[in-house]
Amino acid sequence: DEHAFVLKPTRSLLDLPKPTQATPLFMYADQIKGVKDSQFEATGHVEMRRLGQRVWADYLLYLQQSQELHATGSIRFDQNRNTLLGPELHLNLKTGTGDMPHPRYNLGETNAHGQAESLHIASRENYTLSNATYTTCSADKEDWILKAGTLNINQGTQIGEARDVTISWLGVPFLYSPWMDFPLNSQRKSGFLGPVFGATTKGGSELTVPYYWNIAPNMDATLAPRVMQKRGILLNNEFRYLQPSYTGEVRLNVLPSDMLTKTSRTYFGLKHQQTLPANLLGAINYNYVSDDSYFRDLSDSINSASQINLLREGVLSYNDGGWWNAQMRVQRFQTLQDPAALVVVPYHRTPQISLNALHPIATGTFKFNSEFVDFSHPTAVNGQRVVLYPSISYPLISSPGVFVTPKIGFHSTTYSMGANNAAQLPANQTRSLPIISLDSGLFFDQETSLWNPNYIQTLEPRAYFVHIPYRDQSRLPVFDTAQAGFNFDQIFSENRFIGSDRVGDANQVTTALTSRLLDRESGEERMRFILGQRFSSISPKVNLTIPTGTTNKSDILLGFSARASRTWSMDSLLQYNPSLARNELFNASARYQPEPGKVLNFGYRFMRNTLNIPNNFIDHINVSAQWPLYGRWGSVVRTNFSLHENRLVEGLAGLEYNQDCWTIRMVAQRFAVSTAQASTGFFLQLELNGLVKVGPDPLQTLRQSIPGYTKTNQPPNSASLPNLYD
Amino acid sequence: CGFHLRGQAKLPFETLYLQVPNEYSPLAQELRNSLVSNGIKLAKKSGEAQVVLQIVRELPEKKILTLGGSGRVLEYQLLYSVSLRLYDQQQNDWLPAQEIVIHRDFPWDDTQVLAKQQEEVLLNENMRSDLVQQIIRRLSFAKLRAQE
Repeated sequence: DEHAFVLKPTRSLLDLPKPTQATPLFMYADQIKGVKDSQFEATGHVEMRRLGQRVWADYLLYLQQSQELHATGSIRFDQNRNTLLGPELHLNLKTGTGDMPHPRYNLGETNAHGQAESLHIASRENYTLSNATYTTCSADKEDWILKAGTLNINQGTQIGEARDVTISWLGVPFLYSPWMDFPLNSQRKSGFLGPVFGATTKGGSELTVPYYWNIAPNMDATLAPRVMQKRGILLNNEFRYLQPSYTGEVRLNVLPSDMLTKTSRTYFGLKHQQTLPANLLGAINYNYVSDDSYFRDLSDSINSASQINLLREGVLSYNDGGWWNAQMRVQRFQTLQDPAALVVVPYHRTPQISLNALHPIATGTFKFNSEFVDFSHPTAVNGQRVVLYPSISYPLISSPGVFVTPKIGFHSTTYSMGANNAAQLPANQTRSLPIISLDSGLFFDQETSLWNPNYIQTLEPRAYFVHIPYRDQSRLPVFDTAQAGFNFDQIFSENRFIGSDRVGDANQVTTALTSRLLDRESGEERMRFILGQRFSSISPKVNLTIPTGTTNKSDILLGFSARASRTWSMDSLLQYNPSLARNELFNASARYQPEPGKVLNFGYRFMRNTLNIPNNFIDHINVSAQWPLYGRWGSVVRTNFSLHENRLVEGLAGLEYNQDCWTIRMVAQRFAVSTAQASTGFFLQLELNGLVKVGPDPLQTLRQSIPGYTKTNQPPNSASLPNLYD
Repeated sequence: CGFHLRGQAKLPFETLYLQVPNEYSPLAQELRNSLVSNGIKLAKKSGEAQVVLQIVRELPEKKILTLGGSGRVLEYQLLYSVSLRLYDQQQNDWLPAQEIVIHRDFPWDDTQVLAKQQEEVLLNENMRSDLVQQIIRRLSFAKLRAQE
């Protein structure tokens, strides 16, 4: 909440002024002997105090002229919030410099602590230790420890710098480095991120060591070399920038020589968004991979491995918040083929120009949609298409309880064919259609629900008429058009096709009944039930390649969703075919989320391959969860099992163990990447708190793919860090 | 049965300032139109309105819902979430910070990319209209909440 006051964490309790000669110095001891203006000598339970500094000792000698202090026997020296313990201390109070042999230290801010052979104090904020140890674990349970030949702790820059470093975890030394640096607090700083160890069937054993480079507050980069035993070194690089008028990111991943394929493999991705003068907005999204199997071989995530058509587009749009807007897009794709299941390469749109307007006229609305596209393709027929569709809708009745809105429009399309016209489609064609529709509905409320007075129940019948005359469209090309999916959004739209190459003939009415339960206090929707069906007085004749149904009754759609409490919710949809007396589609999902960080999702999905997607027979069980386990263990799981193919399509599980000063994460995964291949892998990351910065972790993508996932134990800065595994 | 035709349900305030991350976003425009058609006067400055509707975040997302045996996506889930809060000039909550999430299951086909892109745009538009309706409905239930 931005209006709440937040205490700013400070590095020390007091913002200390520089001590001067005038700063009073207090001394307590069993016995103090002194020579005026020359020296003090204190013995027994000595305590010396000055602003921001305290020294306890058995014996202390202080020379007033040089401000030198020598102390021996059970020293404790507190400075800022740091504590230094040792047998002996030399300190110059004027310069702030000093030395302490065999010290033990504790940095108050982070509780990092350790010991050393010797300590040199260069200033109040700068300490150099030799043969030192460093850990952020609690003193009685030092699970990890860093040993360094020299260790510099600079609290001014908040950076620790170590040379000749060995890091041990649970007593086992596992990393040696001649040099490393690490942040002393959680601020965004350049440095190494938690390395990831892994093993995959495609790459063998592997190690990724990400380095985060904080170039400027609005610019950063992550360099993550990934060493794969079977393939070589893949250099993953990401660069991000953010400016008031533009923002973007660049990715360049290069495997200079793949030992398996003997080729160089590359992925390049650029996303850029730019605000331009005169209410223009520009955007570029460009992707390139060197070969079809780049993601199948080298990606760890389903999101990238499942990509078939990589987008390459530039968009320039105009929007001044007024009643019209315009857009120009140039779009191409790189299609990644699976040799066992080739897909048709989509048309390029070079360019697509659209102009849309929406303007109120009295109580009605004037709407104008228009589009010009130049469709190009290497083998299929090329062509240009212009679509103009002005329409007017005017509500006859518009009250909270009743609405009746007729709409009339005129849809006209002009084609001009170009190269590759093998089917000899006419060079120029036009299609003009009036489109008439009438949308109407009623809203009833029942203030006192019979069985629960906390809810308001609604009843909302709706009827939607559409009339579109028939035009023979069999000689028109198909550039960007497909049969629309059958769903509640579709049955209330004019055209049963998506895309402008076909406009379906229609003389039909869609009827639907919705009933909701609303929370009387908040107005939140607790439950919703919808039943809908379309009735047609004609048998539609306009088709793509596959004939549509010849009955004049559509399938019946039945939807139910409930959010009974904050804990339970469910969703279900049924598409029933009355003429074949069978279900075409059925899905049901339930979510149990007792608190943030705990979610269970169960789902069953069924869809026949009746439409034009012959291989997409869905009969799947989906289960996903984010759940804390016993003690310090947490887990995330996602599975997707195809009953139709009797195959585990996705199985991913992640485990996280959080100890006070370290975290270990493990991911085991197996998912299909092509008809014949699966990606199988195991990844492990050890994170030592306060030493290796929290960075992208292998669980991140998995977590985000779980519906209802909430972040837990995330330090505030990690949200801004990139995800390497996406 | 106790059903009756919905009557003139007025929103419980007259002037509103809409605070959005991007005032040209389609959601902001649709929300403004809907508020105006519900008889609300939109203020130019936050200080001039009875209440402030703050759209804290608007986030459309697309997640893989079903993966096929061939490693291709069979269904995506489209999600559209909006976090909002309604408060008055004294910073008193009328609607405490809350999130509305709408989703659509979206069958995908890699051989029909251009059609699917257009379908996705339409589904996002429909989800946006649903969101605006739900926001207006919650606004009609808004009231000055007791101080915590």
